[in-house]
Amino acid sequence: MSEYEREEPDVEGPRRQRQPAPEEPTGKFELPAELKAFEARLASLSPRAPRFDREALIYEAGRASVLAGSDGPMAGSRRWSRWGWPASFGSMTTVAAALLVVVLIRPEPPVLVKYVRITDNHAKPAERPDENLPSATPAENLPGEPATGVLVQEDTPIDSAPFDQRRFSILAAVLGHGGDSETAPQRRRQLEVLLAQGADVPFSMATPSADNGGSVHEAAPQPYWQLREQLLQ
Amino acid sequence: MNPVGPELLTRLLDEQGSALVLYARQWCQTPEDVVQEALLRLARQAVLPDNVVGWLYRVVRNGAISASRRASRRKRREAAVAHRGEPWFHASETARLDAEEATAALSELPIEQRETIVARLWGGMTFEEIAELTDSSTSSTHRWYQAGLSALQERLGVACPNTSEKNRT
Repeated sequence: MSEYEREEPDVEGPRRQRQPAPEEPTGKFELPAELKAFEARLASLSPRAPRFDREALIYEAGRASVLAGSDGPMAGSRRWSRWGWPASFGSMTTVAAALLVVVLIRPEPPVLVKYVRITDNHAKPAERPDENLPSATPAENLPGEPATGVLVQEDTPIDSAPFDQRRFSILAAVLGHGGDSETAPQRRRQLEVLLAQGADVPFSMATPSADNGGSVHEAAPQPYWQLREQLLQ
Repeated sequence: MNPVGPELLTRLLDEQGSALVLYARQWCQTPEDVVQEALLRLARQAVLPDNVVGWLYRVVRNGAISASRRASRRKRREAAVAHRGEPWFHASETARLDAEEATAALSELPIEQRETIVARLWGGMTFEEIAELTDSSTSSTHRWYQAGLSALQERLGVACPNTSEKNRT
């Protein structure tokens, strides 16, 4: 017996007579006899029948029960459609907004200038950069490139360097000797220093000859770069 | 499986449909719509309420009050809800009161008395259930019921059974 099937009030009437009358817990709600009789007469009135389509109502009720069933095969999908997608959209939007704020308020990274001394004695002479010559390295940097680790060299004004006669004599002396393999790097460095200081001035200069192995010839003045190429060869 | 099957709905319609419509009629002019919506809402319940009839009456009451508020916002004619048009009861030979007179007399009662009388007489609810439905005490519902019956008896001109019998004869 379900909860729906319960007792009904103790009144007369065609519908009420089918079931036993309800009993109030105590007698304190007893009506006077006169009102009890009137209550019975009033209960003999039958309410008007509802004017809705019973079949349509039963059909709609069944349809509503199927759509609202929590144990149906599509229940999980419906719940996800109702809550999952909005929740995902909200969380992703929040993350995107937070990342945008972080990007906008992030400070610029500090520019760190680091001077690096490059000493590579084992490089090939043709590929070795000219360490002591004026360098155009700063001009090769593109704007906006990170400045960290850039080799910066001070420009040496060649024109302003005075001609050193003593060093030039040393150069001539060095060139006059064939030298051995141990002193070759040192000689080369000295030559480069001297040439960088203006060895291409129009002086007659003694250069080593490849065929006589140390004899000195008078040569016409040559520019710096030709002398350098000869010396390096 | 949904606990509200077609059999239960049919039984509810047979035994409570008219009373529910009469109960909803105390507030609004579209009682059938309110009752239908209440039944559909019952069909959507995953778990059957403990007291199906009490649950239905509460849903119908809330729906009828909401419908009345919507209608009053539109028209501001709350008094028209009371009694205008067709009577609320069947005019049958077995009834010992006139349907139209009873409708008119009932519609003039205060809403608490009307509600209690309808729920008790035609809804078959106990005073405890009515008190729970109306958020009031049991003694209050009984007082409303008794006062409503007395007012109806006076308006319908029914003094007492003995007097009525004498008048008929």
